[in-house]
Amino acid sequence: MTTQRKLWYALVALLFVILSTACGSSATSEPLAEPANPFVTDRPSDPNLKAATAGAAPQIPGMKPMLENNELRLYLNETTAEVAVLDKRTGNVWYSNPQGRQETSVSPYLQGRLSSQISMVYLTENGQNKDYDSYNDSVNYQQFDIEVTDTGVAVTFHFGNPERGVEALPVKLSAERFQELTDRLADEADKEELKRRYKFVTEQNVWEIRDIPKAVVKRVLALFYEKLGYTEEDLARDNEAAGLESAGGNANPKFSATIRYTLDGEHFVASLDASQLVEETPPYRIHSLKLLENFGAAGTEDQGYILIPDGSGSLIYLNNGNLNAQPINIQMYGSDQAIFVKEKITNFQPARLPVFGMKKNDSAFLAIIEEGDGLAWLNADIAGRQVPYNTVSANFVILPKDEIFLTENEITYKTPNHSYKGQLKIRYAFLAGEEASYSGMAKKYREYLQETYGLQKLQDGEDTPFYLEMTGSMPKDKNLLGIPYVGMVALSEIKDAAELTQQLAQQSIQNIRMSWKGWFNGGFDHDVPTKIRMDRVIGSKDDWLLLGEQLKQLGGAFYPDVAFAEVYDPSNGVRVSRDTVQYISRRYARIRDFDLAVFERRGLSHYLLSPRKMDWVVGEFLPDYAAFNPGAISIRDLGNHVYSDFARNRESTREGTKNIVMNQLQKITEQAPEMMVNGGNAYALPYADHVVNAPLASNQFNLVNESVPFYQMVLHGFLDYAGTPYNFADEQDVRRNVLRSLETGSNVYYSWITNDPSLLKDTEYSYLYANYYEHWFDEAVQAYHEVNAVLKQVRGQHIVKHERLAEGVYKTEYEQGLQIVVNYGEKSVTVDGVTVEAGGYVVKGGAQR
Amino acid sequence: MKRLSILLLLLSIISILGGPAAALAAPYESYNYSWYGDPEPSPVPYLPERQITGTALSVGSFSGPEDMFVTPDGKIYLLDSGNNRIIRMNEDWKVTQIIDKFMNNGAEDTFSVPQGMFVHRDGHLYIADTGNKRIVELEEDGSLVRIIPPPVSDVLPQGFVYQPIKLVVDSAGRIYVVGKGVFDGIMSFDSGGKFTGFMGLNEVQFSPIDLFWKRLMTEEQRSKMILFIPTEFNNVDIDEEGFIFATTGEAFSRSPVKRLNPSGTDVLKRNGYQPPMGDIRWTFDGAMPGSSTIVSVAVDRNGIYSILDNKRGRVFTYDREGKFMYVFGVAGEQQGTFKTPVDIEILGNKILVLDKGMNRFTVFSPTRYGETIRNAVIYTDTGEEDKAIALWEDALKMNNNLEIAYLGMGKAELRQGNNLQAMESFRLGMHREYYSRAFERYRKEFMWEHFNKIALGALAAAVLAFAAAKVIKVRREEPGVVGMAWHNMFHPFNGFWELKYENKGKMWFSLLILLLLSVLYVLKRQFTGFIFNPDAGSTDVSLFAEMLYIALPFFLWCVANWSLTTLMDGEGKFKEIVVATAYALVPLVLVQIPLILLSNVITVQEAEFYNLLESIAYIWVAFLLFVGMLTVHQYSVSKTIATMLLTLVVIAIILFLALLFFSLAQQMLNFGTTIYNELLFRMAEG
Repeated sequence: MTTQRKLWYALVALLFVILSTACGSSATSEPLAEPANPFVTDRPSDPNLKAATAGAAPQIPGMKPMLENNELRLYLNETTAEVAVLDKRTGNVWYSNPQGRQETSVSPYLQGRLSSQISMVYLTENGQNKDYDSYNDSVNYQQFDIEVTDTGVAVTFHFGNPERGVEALPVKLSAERFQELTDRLADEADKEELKRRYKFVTEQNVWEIRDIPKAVVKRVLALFYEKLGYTEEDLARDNEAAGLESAGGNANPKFSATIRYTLDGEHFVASLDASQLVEETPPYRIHSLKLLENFGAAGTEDQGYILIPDGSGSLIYLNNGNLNAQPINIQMYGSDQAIFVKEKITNFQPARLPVFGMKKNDSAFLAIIEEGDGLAWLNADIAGRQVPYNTVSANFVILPKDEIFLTENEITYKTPNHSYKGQLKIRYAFLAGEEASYSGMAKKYREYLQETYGLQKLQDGEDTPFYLEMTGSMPKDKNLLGIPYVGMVALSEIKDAAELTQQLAQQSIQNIRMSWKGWFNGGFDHDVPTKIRMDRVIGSKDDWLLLGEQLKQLGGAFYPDVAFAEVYDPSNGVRVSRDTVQYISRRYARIRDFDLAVFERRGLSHYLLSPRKMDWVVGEFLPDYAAFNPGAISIRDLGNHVYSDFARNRESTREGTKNIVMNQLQKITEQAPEMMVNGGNAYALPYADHVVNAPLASNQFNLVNESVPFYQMVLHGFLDYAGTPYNFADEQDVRRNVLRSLETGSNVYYSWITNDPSLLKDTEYSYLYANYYEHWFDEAVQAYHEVNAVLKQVRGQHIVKHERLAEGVYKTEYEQGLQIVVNYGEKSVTVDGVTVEAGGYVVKGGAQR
Repeated sequence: MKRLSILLLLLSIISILGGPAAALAAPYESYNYSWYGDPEPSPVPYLPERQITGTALSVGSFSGPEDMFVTPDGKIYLLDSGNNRIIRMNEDWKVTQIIDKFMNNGAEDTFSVPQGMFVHRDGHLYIADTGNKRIVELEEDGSLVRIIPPPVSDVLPQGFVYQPIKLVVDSAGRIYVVGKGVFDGIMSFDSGGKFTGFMGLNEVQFSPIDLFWKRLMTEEQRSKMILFIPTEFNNVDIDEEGFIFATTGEAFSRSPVKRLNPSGTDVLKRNGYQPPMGDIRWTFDGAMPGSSTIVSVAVDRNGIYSILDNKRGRVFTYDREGKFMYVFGVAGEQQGTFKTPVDIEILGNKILVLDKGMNRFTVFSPTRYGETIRNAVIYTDTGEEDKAIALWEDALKMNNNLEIAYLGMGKAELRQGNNLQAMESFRLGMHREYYSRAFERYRKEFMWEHFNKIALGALAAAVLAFAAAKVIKVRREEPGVVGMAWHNMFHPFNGFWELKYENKGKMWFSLLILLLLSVLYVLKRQFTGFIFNPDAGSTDVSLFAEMLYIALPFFLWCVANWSLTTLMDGEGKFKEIVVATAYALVPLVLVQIPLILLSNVITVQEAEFYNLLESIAYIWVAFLLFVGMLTVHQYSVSKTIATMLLTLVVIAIILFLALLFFSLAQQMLNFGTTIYNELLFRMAEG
C-alpha cells in the first residue's frame, strides 16, 4: 500500500472514530439533578389536618367532604373529580370549576374544558401543539382514580381515548399483504369495504389508507380486529414493514398525571409532581400543564376584578367587555433569553411576584405559586370570548420548544432532552369582606413571605435612603496617529464621588446608598468576575475603601455592582463553548441589543453564564472580592431575569436556574451582608436589603383597566426600594416622580457621573444621556427632603390599603394610620373634605409637608 | 365604611374613563436620528394620558372611526364613520352633541361611511360623505347648509369614480378634496362648489434602469407592465397661512409629506439631516418591514408639524425647517400603543391619535422633555433668543445627544454675536453651513483684533523666506534621493530618464512615499477643518486601513500597467513602473499639509480654493504619471495615452475577476458551513 493510500485510510478511520465517540457519548446523557429551593423543601406539615367528618354542614350537592383543618374544609365530587373549598371562617365556598356551566350554551368540548382540573398541551413528532384536558380526555372515559389519605386527596387522570381509533389501522400494506387479508375475508361486502377504505398507489405497489369518516371507523376496526383476527403485533409488523415508526398524525397518545390537594393552615394547596408524569406513547411529550385553570371562575353577573402581577400589578375588571383586546399571557420573571428572538418591538416590565388573584363580589382569593414559578406563564381573560367566564390561572411549561432554522426556509421544532422533573405547587388563600381587595391580597402575600422567607420589618423613624448609582470606568475607542486602540476612561472618579458625598451630607442627606457600576475588569461591561482587577482610572484601592468607610460613617453604604449571569467577554476561565448557555438549536446564545428604530438585532451585548457553572464563578469571585468588599454588593442581573440552558450535559430549566440563583445569593450574602438587587424578582427578596429598578407601573395591556402598585404594597416595611432613577424616568419632571414615590413608598434614586458627558460621544453608552450630576443636584436634594419628610415616618410599616379615589387621585394608607393622597391630574380634587391640588399631595395623620 | 367601599367599587367599575392621568412609563422607546443616521436613545417626548372609547363616553362603541378634528377654540370632533355620525366633545371629554342625520329638502338624510371632515373657522362643518359621493356642509348645530355634488368637467378622465375621503377648506372658502384612487392630485372646488381642477400633482418616481428597459420594449409589452403613475394623496391639513399639507402613503418615498402653495408647488423646507419621511432606516423582513407609511399630518403652531406612520405606529414631529424634533409611539397590545392609527390632531400642547382598529383615540401629553423642545423651537421661531437658549440648555441636560438643541443654541448665539460659542455649538450639532457662517464672523473678529500681530508675523515670514532663498541658492551639488524627487517634479522628462537609465530611482524611497501618503491621509482625516470633514476627530481612522486603501490601488495600477505594456512592447520593467508611479505621486504628498492647514481657516464659500489646490495637485500627478509612463516604456505620446486608458480597462477586468473569485469562494464557504452546521446538528442529536 502506498503511503498516500495509508494516509487516506488513516484519515477516514480517524473521522470514523470521532463521529462514533461523539454519537456514543451523547446517547447516554442522564438528566442532571434538579436543584432544590432552599426555603420550600422543609415546611412543617399542618398539625390540625385530618379527615373530614362525613355529613358535616354545610352540605355541597354532589360532593363529599374529604379533609379539614381549623380554617378550611375540602370537598370532592367523586364522579367529576371537581373539588370545592369551604372557608369555615366566612362560609364562602370556592369551586375548582364554575357551577352552572351546564346551563351555558357553549359547545360540549368547551363544557369539558370548563369541567377540567388539569389541562395540557402535548407535542407531536413534528413539534405541533395539541390539547388534552382532564375532563374531555379522562373523566369522560371514566379513566381516573382517587386516593384519599388523612393528609391529602390525590386524583390520577389517565389521558387518552382507551378505545381504538384510526391509529390502530395499518397505514400502508404491500400488495401481497393486502391480497392475503382480502382473501381471508369471507363476505363479499367486507372485501368491498376493505378495498374502498384503501387506495392503491401504483408507483410504490402499496395500498394506502384513505381518510376514514368517524362514523365508519368502528366498522373498519371491527373488520380488522374481529373478522380478521388482527392483533397489535400485526399492526406493529405492518407499520414497520411500511417503514413507519408510529401511526403518524392519527395516533392516540396517552399520558397520566396526578394532582394532589391538601390543606395547610389557611391555605388550600394544589400540586403536581412532574417526575411522576407518565408519557406512555413516545414520541408524544407533554409541553405544558395548567393546574386548576377554572378555579374561582367568575360569571357574567359577578363584579370585581382579576389581579395580575404584570409590572407593579394591574387589575382587569370582570366582564369589562373589552373583547377587542387580546387575552393576557405573560411569563413569570420575564422572557427567557435562551429562547431565540429575531426582533424586539417593546420592552415589557416583567412579572416579578409569582401571585395572581381575583376579587369576586364580596370575597377574593390569592394564588401563590410556590414551586414551578420559574416555569409559569399567567393567563387571564374576561367573559364573552369563547366562554361566559372570567378566569385567571397559571400555565407551567415543563418542556420548552423553539424553532430551529436549518437553512433559510427549513424550520423544525426542537425540545430539550429532559423535561422538568420537580414539583408544581400553587397555594390559595381566601379573603372576604373588607379584606377582599388587592390590599387584602397584598397582606396575605406579605404574611406568606414572612412565614416562608423570614422577612422582617425595618425600623420606623430613620431617614429613608437616597439611592445613587455612579457610573465609573468605561472602555473608549482611542486613536494614536491612526492606530486605533481601546483605552479606559473614567466617567466618575472615586475622589469626586467622595466629594459629592460630602456635598450631599452638607445638605443633610446622610443615608446615601451608593452603587458603583464600572470599577473592575474593564468598565461596566466587565470581564468575568472570577478574577478582579480594579480599573485604576477611577482611583486607587485605598480611595475605594475610604469611600466605603465614609459612606458607612454617614449612615449609608457602598455597593459595588457586579454581574454574574451576563458574560460580556469570555475571559478569566470562562469559555463560550464550555460555559455559556446554548439555544435549543445548540447554537451559542448571543444576546444582542436591538435597534430602536428598526427592531432588529444589532451588536452583541452579552453571553449568558450556564447556571451549572455559576457556583464555580461565585466561588472564585468571593475570595478576590474580599480585598474590595465594603460589606455590601449590588447584584446587577441575578435578581432581574431567569433563563434556561439547553446545552447538552448541563441542561437547566428556568426553575432549576432560579433555585441555583437562590443558593448563590445565599453564598454571596454571607460575605457581603448588605445586598442591593436590581429588578427584585420574588426569589431574591429573602437576600435583598434594597431593590432598585423595581417596577413602578404595569404594562397597561389593552385588556387591563387599572395599574396598582401591588409590588410595592407587598414590599413596603420589609425592604427599601426605588423605581428607575429620576433622571432616567420616561417623565423627567421631578414633581411627577416625587408624587409617584409618595404614592408607592419608593425612594429617591438618581444615576450620575461626575466627569464631562462629552466623554460619552461616539461610544456605545450614549444611553447615558442625562447623567451629569450638576444638572440634577439641586433638584435631587429638594426631592429627597420632600419625600423623606413623609416616608421616614412609615419606613417600617406595611401599606394596609391603596385605592383609587378618582381619576388620577390615589390614596395610600399605612399601618399606623398615616394616609397620603396624591393627585396626578390637571385639576384639583376634593375628597373626604380635603382638597388636593393638581400635581400635589396631602398627608393626613402625620407631620404635614 | 362598607357603603363607601361599595360606592368606590361601583365608581371604579363604572368610570372606565380611559384610565389614570398620564402614565409614568411609556410602552414605547424613543430615539433621535443622529447626523450619521443612527437611532440614538432619547427620552420620551409624550406619554399617553388617557384613552377614550365610545363606551367610556356613554354613546356606544365607535365603529371604524376615520377622522377627527380639533377647532382652535378647543372643540373636538370625532367622525364615527361606521356608525355614520359625528360626535362633538369639549376639553373635559364630555359629549356636547351627536350629529347623525340632517334635513335635506324636507326629508331626513344621513351619511354613508364618511371618511373625512373639516371645521371652518366660521364653525361650519364640511363632511366628505364618501359612500354618497358628495360633500355635505352643515352649520354648527347640524342643520344643512348645502350639498356639493360630484365634480363635472372635461379634465376628468374616463370612468372617473368620485370618492372624497379627506378635505380642507381655506379662509376664502375654497374646498380641497382628496379623492380615493385619484392620481392627478388634489381636487379643488371654488367657494361656490364648482370643480376648478387638480393641484399638487406628485412626481412619478422611477429608476433610470426602468426607463432604459421601457425604451427597449414593444408597445404590447409596455402595456402589460406596471404603470408608472404618480401616487395618490391620502390625507390633508391646512396651516394658518393657507398652505396645504398633504401626505401620501407611497413606500420608500423621500417626500411623503408636502406643503403645497396655492399653485400646487411643494414648498416644504427639508433642511434637516434627513428628509421628513418618518424612519430613515428599515428592514426588509420582520413583522413590520419597509419604510414608514404616512397616513396623516397635523399642523401645530410656528411651522411645527407631526406626521403619523401607520406601519409601526409612530408620530414624528418636525420644525419649520424640516429638522427632526422627536418621535414616539409604537404598534402594540398596550394602552398608549396602536393597532391601526389613522389620524392625528393637535390640541394645545397635546396630541390626539385616532386608532380605527381599536375604536378609540389616545390623548398624549408632553413630558418635561417634549415640552422643553417644543417651546424652544417656538421661541427660536419667534426670535426670543434668550428664552430659546435657556430652553435648549435645559433640553441638553435631559438629553446630551440632542444635536438639534446644539443647533438651536448655536443659532441663538449667532444672533447674539457670540461667534466662538456658536461655532462650538454648531460643531456639536454637526452642521457645516452654520458652522461656516459662524466661523466666518469669528475669523473677521479675530483678524480685526489681532491684525497687528498677523501683519507683523507675515512680514517676518516673508523676510525669512527671502533670506533663506538667497542663502540656500548656493548649494548646487548632486541632489540626494529626496532632492531627486523634488527635481523630478519640476523637470519630469529629465527626471524620469535619470530614474530609468541612471538608476536614480530607489525602491525603498517609493515605498516610503506610499507610507508617507498613508500617514498624511490619516492626519487629513483627523485634522481637516470641520467644514470639510465633519467626521474629524473620529476614532476609527486606522493607519493600517489607510495604508491598504493606498497600497492596493497603487499596486493594482502597477500590475495592470505592467501586464498590458508587456504585451504592447513596452520597455519598462516592473520595478521601474513602481518607482515611476511612486515618484509621480510626490505632489500629492506635498499638498496634504497645506490642504489641512488651509481647511482650518476658510469657510464654505471659499471652499473653491481648497478644491483648486487639490485639483492642481491631481493634475500635476496625472501629468507626471503620463511623462513617467512615456519615458519608462519609451512610447510615443499617443501610445502612452492609449496604454494608460487601456490600463484602466485592465484594472476593471482584474477587479471583475477578483469579485468573481470572491463570490465563488463565498458560495463554497456557505456550502461548507451549511454542511458543517447540519453535521453538527445531526451529531448533537446522537
